[in-house]
Amino acid sequence: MELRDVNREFTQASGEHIRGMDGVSFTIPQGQFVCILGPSGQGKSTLINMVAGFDTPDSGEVVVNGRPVRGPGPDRGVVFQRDTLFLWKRVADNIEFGLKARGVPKAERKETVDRYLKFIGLEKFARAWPKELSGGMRRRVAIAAVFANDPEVLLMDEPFVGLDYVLRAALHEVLLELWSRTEKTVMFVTHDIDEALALGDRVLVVQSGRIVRDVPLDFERPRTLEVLESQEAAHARVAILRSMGVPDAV
Amino acid sequence: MVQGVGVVAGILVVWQLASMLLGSTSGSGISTVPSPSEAFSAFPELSAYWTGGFGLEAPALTSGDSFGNALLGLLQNGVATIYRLVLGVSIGLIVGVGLGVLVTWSRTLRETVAPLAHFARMMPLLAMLPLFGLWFGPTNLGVIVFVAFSVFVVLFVVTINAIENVPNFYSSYARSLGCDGARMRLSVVLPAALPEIRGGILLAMGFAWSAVIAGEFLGQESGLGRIIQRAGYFSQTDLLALMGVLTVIAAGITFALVSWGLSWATRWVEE
Repeated sequence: MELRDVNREFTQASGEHIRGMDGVSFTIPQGQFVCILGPSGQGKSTLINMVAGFDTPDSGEVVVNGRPVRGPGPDRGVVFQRDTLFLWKRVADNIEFGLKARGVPKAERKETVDRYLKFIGLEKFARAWPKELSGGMRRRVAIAAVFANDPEVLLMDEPFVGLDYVLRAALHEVLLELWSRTEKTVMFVTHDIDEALALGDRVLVVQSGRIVRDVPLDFERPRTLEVLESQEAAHARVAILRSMGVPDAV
Repeated sequence: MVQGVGVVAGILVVWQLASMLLGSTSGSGISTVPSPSEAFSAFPELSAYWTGGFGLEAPALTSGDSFGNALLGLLQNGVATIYRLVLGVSIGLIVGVGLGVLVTWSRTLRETVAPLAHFARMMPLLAMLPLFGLWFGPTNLGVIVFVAFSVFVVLFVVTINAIENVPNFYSSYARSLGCDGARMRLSVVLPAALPEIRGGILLAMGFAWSAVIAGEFLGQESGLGRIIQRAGYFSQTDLLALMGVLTVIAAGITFALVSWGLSWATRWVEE
């Protein structure tokens, strides 16, 4: 995945121009887990919308797997911040939805849906409506639905916001397990530095529509609490905080 | 349940009082405000509307009034009315919702058609009835088309509004999964709009009942509306009152059935 000098300007209702993206360029190699980190309203969502194809750059180009992005498509799966499960479809039908839309044969669909239901531990809830699930269960279904559709790239826009620590850690485990099995490229937007350190191969820090820092997270996986306490992790953390403009003395 | 019985009893008491206080009896023995008992004792008069069928003969004109014949008469005409109602509502529903979905497909089309549709909603439906009478004559088809039209006008507007209120993220999500076009309209946009369309369908049922009864005034050979029209012509106030009660009951039953069906279809909605 590559972004080449992407620019995007928004005009507010007041007539004021805001630079959503300001000459952003970077490359993400196949299979990498990249966290996009930054405060709210600094362009993280704009970035993910461009790659997803919901928004188009004023200039520059977004290329995924050698093809320039022209609108949304099943090669780029999106997990949204808000719950987008189809409330009128049962859990299994939600997971099957993309496969059906892409014309995958029925036997294969069923096999895939069963595999993912089992993986997220919700086989018993295959026939349940989304309203019957807890918040954490719904997030698991949302992730399964996107992975089941077998995209080349996964775009996740603050998918675990508002969940408690324990639940979030459990979802991280599900996500990382799926990622390591499928070796998909993941672009994960978050404003939580701990989440980025726990998940990413690399962190891109976004501020005012620019990538201000590109920090590799080379320390080992799995990211146990011990690993996250290591010298290496602490260094990465400080480097990221500095680039976000946090002063040395607080 | 207890409340329901209480309400019915209350209505009967008020009705009886109204009949005693407001009603007067003309020289020919017709009460202007018939009491409940007068209305219910008009039931055998419905025998005159039983035209025979299913191997049974129509009663003789002069001596055929009986409870059985009246019940047959009521059923025969009730079925005719319900048949027109069901066909008309179905057609109006399919065309109204279908066109609503088609129109909202394109932004330009929606913005062109929506104001027109709102204007059509203002139209006094019953004032259009003579026009339908001229177009179709006293045919079954005329009544069915009139009912369909009254349902269509409501549901077309309601569907357009409901689809406009569907949050964008559903279609964004669906497109990112590779879903587009007709599949998107039918399996994402329409179901997402259904909870809001539900209210419109119940509203349209009320319009449909008005339309079918009024439509049957126009020279129909059968139907509850025809009985009402004839009873009015012969100043049978007791039969008119009875028909009012029976029509409310019939409409109430159809309303409850449709309401139950819609609740089932939207059982996935979060409270």
